[in-house]
Amino acid sequence: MSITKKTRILLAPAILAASATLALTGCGGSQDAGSTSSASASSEAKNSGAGLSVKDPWAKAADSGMTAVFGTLENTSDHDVTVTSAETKAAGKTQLHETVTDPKTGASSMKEKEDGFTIGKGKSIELKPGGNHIMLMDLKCSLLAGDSIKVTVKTADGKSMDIDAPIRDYSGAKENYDPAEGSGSSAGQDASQAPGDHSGHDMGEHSGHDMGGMSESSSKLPSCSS
Amino acid sequence: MIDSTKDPAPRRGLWSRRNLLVGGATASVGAAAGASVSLARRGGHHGSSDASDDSGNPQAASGGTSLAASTVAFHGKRQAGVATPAPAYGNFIGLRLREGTTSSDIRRMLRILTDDAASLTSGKGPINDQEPELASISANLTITFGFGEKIFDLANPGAKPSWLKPLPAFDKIDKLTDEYGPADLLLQICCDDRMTLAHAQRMLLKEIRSFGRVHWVQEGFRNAAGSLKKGTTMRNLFGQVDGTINPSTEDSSMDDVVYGSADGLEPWIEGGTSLVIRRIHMNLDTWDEVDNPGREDAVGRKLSNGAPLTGTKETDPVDLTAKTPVGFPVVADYAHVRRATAQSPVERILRRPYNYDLPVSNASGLSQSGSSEGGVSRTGLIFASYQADPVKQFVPIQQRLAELDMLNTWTVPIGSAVFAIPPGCDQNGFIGDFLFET
Repeated sequence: MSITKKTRILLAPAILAASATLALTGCGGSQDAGSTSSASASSEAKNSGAGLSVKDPWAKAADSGMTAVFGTLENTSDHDVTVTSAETKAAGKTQLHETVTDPKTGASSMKEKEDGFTIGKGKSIELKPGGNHIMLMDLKCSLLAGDSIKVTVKTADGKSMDIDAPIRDYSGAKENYDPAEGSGSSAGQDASQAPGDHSGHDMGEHSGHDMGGMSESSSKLPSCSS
Repeated sequence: MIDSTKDPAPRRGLWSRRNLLVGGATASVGAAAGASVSLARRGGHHGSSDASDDSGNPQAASGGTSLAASTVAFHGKRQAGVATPAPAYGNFIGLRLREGTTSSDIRRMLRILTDDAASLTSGKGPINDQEPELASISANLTITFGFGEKIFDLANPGAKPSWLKPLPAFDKIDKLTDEYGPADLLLQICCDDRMTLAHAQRMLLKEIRSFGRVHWVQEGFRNAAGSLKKGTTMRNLFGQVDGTINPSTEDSSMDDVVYGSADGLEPWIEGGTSLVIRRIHMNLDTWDEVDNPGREDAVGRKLSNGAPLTGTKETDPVDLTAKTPVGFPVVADYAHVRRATAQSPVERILRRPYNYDLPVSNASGLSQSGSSEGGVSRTGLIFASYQADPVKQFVPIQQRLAELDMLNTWTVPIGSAVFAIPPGCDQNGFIGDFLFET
């Protein structure tokens, strides 16, 4: 499954400048219903073997379609670690995405990072809106702000780490945001896209569910926590 | 505006029986929630040497004593923002939950808000903050949450304090509208830097958007940080020293009055208190018609320094029995300070008001007596009163003032709301978590 069509994206400078490594220190860092462990504690606890830890993980709320998971993955081992895939019960399909800049046009685009994220020993990689991220597609349930989602990242050497990512509302992180065309311009294109090509999806459509009033989306999936 | 002179209320010893019983907790709360304004060195509270040190605002003033780096601890048995010295700016936001809100929705919302508040008050943007640079100047930011009836009704009706309901009507003075009426959730955001406050407010309101709507925002201010001598009582925009003889963290009075340690009071929950917000329009035009002797007579205190008319300095007790040479009371029967004087030991409150002064346009002329409209300004007081039990402590004082208080000549209550202030939380909990314990 390859990504051949690149999606044009404009990356706002402010988002690029914003650091996503700000520490999460709040009460109840983990929003997982029924869990009282903090996000950092749980990620440390599950850091056995994979040589990875995660800092400040979070996921963008969505009630259907697609969304993304962010955070900083740190290689705590003494050798390079390659994250090759991720999975979660909440999504039918999960991909690792990177941001690349077209050398001719200078335009940034998202595409699947098929060889995964390789993190040097002692190094870290930041997953953030407008940059690298874990893409969740074909959502099976609603990711509600204030809950958390469990995502398992897998490494090339067959190990894995569970991430407990708090879910937050977020208006950015739109995959194919282009103010010149306006949001929603891609509506109806999905059927024509090749499998695995997410360029026709518009995450922005779903981010708007909680804006402009309290009306419930008709396509809203049941909560992942219920 | 209430001047709850406490003279008749005997001050209880620091080591009363009750304080001994809760001594350990009280001591630690004092440290966490009393006046724990600390100066955290910039960078120090980021606590790491990785790339996150590059976050924040490189333009912020640095140094161990800068206002920019001053933080008030968020976690503790009591919420910050009550016993904490009041910063220059205070915004009070009343929110109403959307139809169909469930207990689990409230739980999700409170976890988010708690996480955000803990981050923001320590000078860090929350994980989904799109402008974290604006969060990096903490400037004594506090974020305090209050609950209206609906939070309890939906999440845990048995935990609702009996006094959590609208105050009785004060028909002689009130001109209340729903515009500043009861709300389901209160955010109190106080800060010495209005930029930081604006960002924190925006961040929190974005998070709440999917749970409810803003019913009102009351923006208040005091003197700028550093303008007044430490510990000075604020003035309102009538020029009056407003808030004399408040409960203090220097002795047991804050615990007694605000957190219900005094005999005759009961905290609704350990570490919890209540907030009454009365929005009081002040008619500056008719106040202007009164010269200083009349102004001082109306209150019973001197405008120059807030001293009672029977004393020389602000902290002097009021002598309500003093007579003039011709036999009239020095402090008039209708004087605010006399009417507000506590008639029982529990009638004490913590006043932490903020002034407001709204922009006007196409404004001219004079406002009429008793009106909250007209004139060239829209000015008043966000009267914020904290006490263990509003019905026992606040209402009797307010009833006397509503019945007779010369200050009513120039003031009009236009908003009123009561909130339960839940306890604080530690790093593993969230504000209001006790509601969900079965």
